[in-house]
Amino acid sequence: MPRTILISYIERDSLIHKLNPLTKLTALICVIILAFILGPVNNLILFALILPLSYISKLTWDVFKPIRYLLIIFAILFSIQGLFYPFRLTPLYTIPFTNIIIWKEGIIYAAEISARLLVMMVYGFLFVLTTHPGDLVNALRKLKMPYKVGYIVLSTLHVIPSIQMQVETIIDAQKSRGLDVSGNIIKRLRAYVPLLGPLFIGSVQQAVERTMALEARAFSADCEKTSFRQTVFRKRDRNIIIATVIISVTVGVLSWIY
Amino acid sequence: MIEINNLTFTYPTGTNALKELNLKINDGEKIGIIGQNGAGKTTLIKNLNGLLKPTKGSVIVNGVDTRNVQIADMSKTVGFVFQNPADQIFNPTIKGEIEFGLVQQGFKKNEIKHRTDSVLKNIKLYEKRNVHPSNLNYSERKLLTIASVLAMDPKIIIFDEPITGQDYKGKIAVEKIIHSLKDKTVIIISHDMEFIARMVDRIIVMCDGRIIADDSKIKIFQNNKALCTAFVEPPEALKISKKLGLKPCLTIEECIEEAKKVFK
Ligand SMILES: Nc1ncnc2c1ncn2[C@@H]1O[C@H](COP(=O)(O)OP(=O)(O)O)[C@@H](O)[C@H]1O
Ligand SMILES: [Mg+2]
Repeated sequence: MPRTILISYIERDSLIHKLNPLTKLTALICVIILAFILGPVNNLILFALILPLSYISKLTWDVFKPIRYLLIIFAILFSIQGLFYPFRLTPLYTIPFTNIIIWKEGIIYAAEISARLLVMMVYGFLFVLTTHPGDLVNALRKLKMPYKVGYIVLSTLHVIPSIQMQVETIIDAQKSRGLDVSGNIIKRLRAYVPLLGPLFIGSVQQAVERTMALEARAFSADCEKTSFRQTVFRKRDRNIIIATVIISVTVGVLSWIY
Repeated sequence: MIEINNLTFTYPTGTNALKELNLKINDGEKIGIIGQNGAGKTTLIKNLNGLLKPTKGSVIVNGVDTRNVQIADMSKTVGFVFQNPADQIFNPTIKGEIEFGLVQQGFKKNEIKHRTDSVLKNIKLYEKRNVHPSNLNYSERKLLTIASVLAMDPKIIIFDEPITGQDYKGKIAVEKIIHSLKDKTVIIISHDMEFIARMVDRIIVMCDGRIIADDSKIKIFQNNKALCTAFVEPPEALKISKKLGLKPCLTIEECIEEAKKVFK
């Protein structure tokens, strides 16, 4: 039985893991900006580049499994935009025996957004899976980022897997009381609605408690903090940043022109 | 009846949580599962209602192989009270919480009402039935989660650490309910040996994914080797009765009775 795969740092000995977090962050930002500039086809090419990158990172395929939840969003996007896109002009397909029309512009628009989401998701994943949260905070602090901002980043990264685990426990509890989560997608989505209540309440409670626990351990103490993890900015980091920016700007400008 | 044959369970992370377990549980038995944190107790009981399916081997509950059924169907036979009430209360009212499982199983409306009212009176929350569960304190929430399982009237009921974090009053209330489940198969995980001694007849000791002992409670509590391996202390009453040279007793009440007889 497949259990949830946690979206958090996975220790591997790879080139990408060893890069400075800022290098990866810069590359991630470039990719996100590109995702907005490029059209759906080019975005798919960008998406395909994740293959060699995750191979270099020594990650296995199943780490990308959570992406499948995006399919739900895609299904909604395509059906809503296909039917109701405001600037619809060209009918693509009329459902037989009805006057329901699927519009070409809507489908193109949905494809654009979907491709963008897909690219941002997988590269965001790659970043989170290959970057130790401590290193990221450390690197951000070297940029004179306030300690508290660093903590916000850190705790967000920490909260994602803990929410995933909580979701799993709550679903287990619901299934044990006869909730049927098999069947078509609508049925499944509806089954997950009762999950939101305990998840939300639990998260708020945890946040309140975490705040107090932090304060009780001198989080707001007004002094220079020690840091254990060391991040180094090597020559190859500089080179990769320069190369990524140049390539991204070129690709961006080219696709803008054509 | 539950039959476990060569059950091995491995989590996708690679943790080998259960190793070749064999176990048979008869109808109506009261069973305690003890062992250190990480011994595999929770993993074992999640295999009993199909939340987890065996990696190898099989689990047969009342003649049904858990691999062949949905958990939704298993929930009619096996009730499961999770450790943390916060994770299993998800309805806007107390009444709704109890009704949830019954609605899932498609009971008739008046049957649902009848069962709901009766369990709510049993846990003394009938007056509060229309309020949001967040208004309850920890032990009331625990009772609510137990009641929501009892309402479904399963033959087998599993409790994962039911009194962990409970105050005295909460503990007593949980004990009273479990005691009333005379004709059910009851499986309890707990670290409280006094509680285990009062609630069950048979004890299974787990260590590192294996069952290292499985016997009547009086034999288990005198099996120093098993207790030592599992880092468990026997109930105080047993130590006292041994020091006083009485016949081995597991509860203080028994111990007092024995002492009265012997010392007059
Ligand atoms: N969801 C999970 N994913 C991976 N490993 C797990 C998971 N749940 C438990 N484990 C591991 O399985 C082992 C047994 O855990 P568990 O059954 O929870 O023990 P217990 O209930 O006796 O404390 C432990 O080593 C634990 O870390
Ligand atoms: Mg446990």
